[in-house]
Amino acid sequence: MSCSNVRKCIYLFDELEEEERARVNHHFATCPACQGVYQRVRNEKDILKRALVTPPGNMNSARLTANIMAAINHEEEDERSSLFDLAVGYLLSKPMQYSLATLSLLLGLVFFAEYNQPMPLRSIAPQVQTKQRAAGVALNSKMFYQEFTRMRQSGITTKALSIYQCLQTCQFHL
Amino acid sequence: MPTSTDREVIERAMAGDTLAFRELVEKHQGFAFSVSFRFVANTTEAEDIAQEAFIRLWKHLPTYRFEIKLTTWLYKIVSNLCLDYLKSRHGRRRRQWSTVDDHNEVPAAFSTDASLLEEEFRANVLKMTEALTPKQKAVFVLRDLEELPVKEVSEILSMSANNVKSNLYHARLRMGDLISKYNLIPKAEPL
Repeated sequence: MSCSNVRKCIYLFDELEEEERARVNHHFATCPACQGVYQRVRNEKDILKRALVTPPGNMNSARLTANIMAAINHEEEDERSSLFDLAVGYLLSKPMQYSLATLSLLLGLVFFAEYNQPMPLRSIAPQVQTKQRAAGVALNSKMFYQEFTRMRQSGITTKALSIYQCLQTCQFHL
Repeated sequence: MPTSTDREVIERAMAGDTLAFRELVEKHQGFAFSVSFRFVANTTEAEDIAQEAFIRLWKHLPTYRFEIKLTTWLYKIVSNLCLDYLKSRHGRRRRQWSTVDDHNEVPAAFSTDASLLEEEFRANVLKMTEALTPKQKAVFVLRDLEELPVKEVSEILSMSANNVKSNLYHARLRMGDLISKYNLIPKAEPL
């Protein structure tokens, strides 16, 4: 191994493969100059470690943690508000406005067509419902009147009873 | 690989638990800060980079895979941010301002107080690292100061092992030259 090759290897001594490192070590045994360079490089490395390996102690841990957590919470809020903005923006967008207008128009047309249709369903159904409702009202009135008369005859004052109470009594008698 | 407790905390943080993430921040912020400080040599900038690194970690945590160490992932984020910083206009301006000639103005030997001497020595050596290119500095910080294996450095910086070694060689050579130039140790005779 030549001295120039060895000196290149010296700078990467810790990264060399075992075999290559053995060859460099063998060269050192016969070359004091390269051995000297090796020692110098080791010294440089020690100096750099002494100067730079010690972690800097001027970090404010509490402040850094607080800043990081505040920034994360802020990011989360931003993300939520951006999703809301996106949804609102989508609703207010032109295509969405046109779609909603078309849908409203269609619903209006369907309603209008249905309303003007002379179908028996429309004309008969209210009559049936009206009859049923009328019958129900007549029945309730009759029951109420009977109960009212009975209470009056038996001397119970009607002022103390509400309509609701009368109806309750009617249901009880039924 | 993370231990069971670490894994539990990471899983909780991945699910969006900010308290669990706070635990991770408290555990790893010191190392994130020290790595970024070695890159940028400025406390405020280093804190900003550490903060940004944790924000990115939080954003990408749901995609985290347990086969990778969390610290390796954090190293990668911090290193990329630091490289971006060094490559940025601001970083370049900083490097221009702190040229290597500045070291002549504050020779460590003039100080008498031992702790001050040590502090000045450290500051000067830190300034010397600014003479390195961003890539050289990255491999130098991760390999020589953080003492990570070459394989991990190549993973963090997305470089081949040979590229890492090449940058490391030039970084060590340059730092050696500067140390000799400013008489921190005597330079060996040339070939």
